[in-house]
Amino acid sequence: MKKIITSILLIFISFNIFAHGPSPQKVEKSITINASPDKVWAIVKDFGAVQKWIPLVTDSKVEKKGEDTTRILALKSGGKVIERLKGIDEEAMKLKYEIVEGAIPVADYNSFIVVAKGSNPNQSTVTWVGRFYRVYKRNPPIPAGQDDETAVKAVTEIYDAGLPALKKLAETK
Amino acid sequence: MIFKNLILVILCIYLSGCFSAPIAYITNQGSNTVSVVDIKKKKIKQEISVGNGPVGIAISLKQSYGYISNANDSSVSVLDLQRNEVIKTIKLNGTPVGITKSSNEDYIFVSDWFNSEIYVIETKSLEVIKKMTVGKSPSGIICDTKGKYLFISNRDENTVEIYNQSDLNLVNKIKVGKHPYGVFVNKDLLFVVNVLDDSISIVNTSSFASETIKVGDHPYGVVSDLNNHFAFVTNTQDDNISVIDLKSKNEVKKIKVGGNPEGIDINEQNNILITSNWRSDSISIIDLEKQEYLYDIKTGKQSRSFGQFIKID
Repeated sequence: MKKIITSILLIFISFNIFAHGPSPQKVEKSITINASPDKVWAIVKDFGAVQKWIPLVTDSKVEKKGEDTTRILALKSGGKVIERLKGIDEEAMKLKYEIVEGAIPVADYNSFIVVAKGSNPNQSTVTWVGRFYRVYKRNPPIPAGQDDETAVKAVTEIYDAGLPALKKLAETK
Repeated sequence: MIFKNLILVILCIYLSGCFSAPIAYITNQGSNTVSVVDIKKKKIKQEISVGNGPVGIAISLKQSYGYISNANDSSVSVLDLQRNEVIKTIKLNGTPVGITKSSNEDYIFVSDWFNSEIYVIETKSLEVIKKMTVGKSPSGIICDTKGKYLFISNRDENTVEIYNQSDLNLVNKIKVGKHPYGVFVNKDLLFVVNVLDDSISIVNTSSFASETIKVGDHPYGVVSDLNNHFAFVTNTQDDNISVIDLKSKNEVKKIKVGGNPEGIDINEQNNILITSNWRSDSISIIDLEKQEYLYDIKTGKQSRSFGQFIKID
C-alpha cells in the first residue's frame, strides 16, 4: 500500500515539475507590523524556522547539498513540501525561495518575502509575493483541484495565515 | 477658405509632432486587454478588450495591424492600430503563446504550446492556412528580416528549431539550455533565453554554433541593438535587465526595472528600451544609450507583451 502511495506521489511530483499552463498566477499580500525592520527581518530570513510563524507548517528541516539549501516542511494537513532557498539580500531585506516539490497544488512556484521600513523606526511592512502556475498543463476540461482557482486559493491561505502570525510573533517577541 | 487652410496647417503640425511618437502595445493577462501606451506622454491612450489571457504580440507595419495571442481562450485577436479596435478574432485549437510575422509580413506564425504545433495565418485573408507539428512546447518564435529563417524555441525539449520561411522545411535543430523561451534575431545572431538555467544562448545563424552567457534569475525576454553591441535580457525573478556586451560576451550591467519584467522591446530611433512588468502592472522605460532606468508607466493588470510591441506612430 505504502509503495502504491509513494509511486502515485512520485507521478504527481514529476508531473508537477514539468507541467503548467501558460498563464502564471499571482498572490501578493502585505501587512504592517509594529516592530523594527531589523527585528522582523531576523525572523523572516531564518529559512529553517518558518514553523515558528506559519500556522500551516508543523515542522521544518534544513538540508544543504552543495550550494543548495532546502527546507522540508511538514504540513498540518499531513503532506510535505520541499522548498529551495534562492537568495537572501540583506540590503533589500528580501528572501527568495521556490517550491521544488510537494503537497501544495501549484507548479513552478517562485516567491519572495521583503521587509520594508514603516512610517516610524518601530514599524515595518512585510510583503509576500508568489508567482506560480496551476498543476494541470493542458487545455480545458481541467480536473478538479488542478485549476488556477485551486492554486491561487492554496497560496492565499498560506499567506493569509502566515502574515498575521508573523506580526504576532514579531510584536510579542 | 482661410479658416480651412488654417485647420490644415494645424493638422499638419499636429501630425508631424506625432510622427516619431513611440507607442507601446501591452498585452495584459490579468485584465484581458491591450494597453495602447504613448511613451512620450507617459500615459495610456486607450485600453482595448481582447481575448482571455493575452500574452504574445506581433505588429504588421504594412497593415498597421496588431496580432495578439490569447493563451486562455485559444484565439488570436487582430487589432487595427489606426482605429485601435479589434477587427477579427481568429479561433485556434490549442494554447497560443508566441507570435511573430514573416519578413514580408504576408504571414503570422503562432506557437501552440500544448499541441506542439505552429499555426500559419495569412495576413491578407486573416485565415489560418496551415498547421504544422514542431518540437515539444513551442514558445518563442521569430523570423529574421532577410526572409530566410523562422526560429522556434521548444521549451520542453530544450531545443531551437530553424525552418525555411519559404517552404517551412526544417533546416536544423540545435540544443540550447533548460526551458528556452524568448527569442530574438538580428543580423547573424539568434538570441534565446534559457529560463531554468539563468542564461542565454547566442547562436550563429550561419554556422549554428552556439555559446552560453549567464544572466539573472528566470530570464524571459531578450533583444539586441542594431549593431549587436549589446543584448538586453529581462530577469523575471530579479526585477532587472541584464546588459550583455556582445564583444566580451559578458554581463556588464544590471538595470533595475518594475516587478517581474517579461516582454522587452527596443527602439533606437527614440533611444529607448521598454520592459512590460507582470507583477507591477506597468512598463519601464530605459534610456538605451545611457543604459539607465527612466520611469514607469502604469498599464492594465499583469502586462506581458511577449514579442515586438513598439510601433512608431
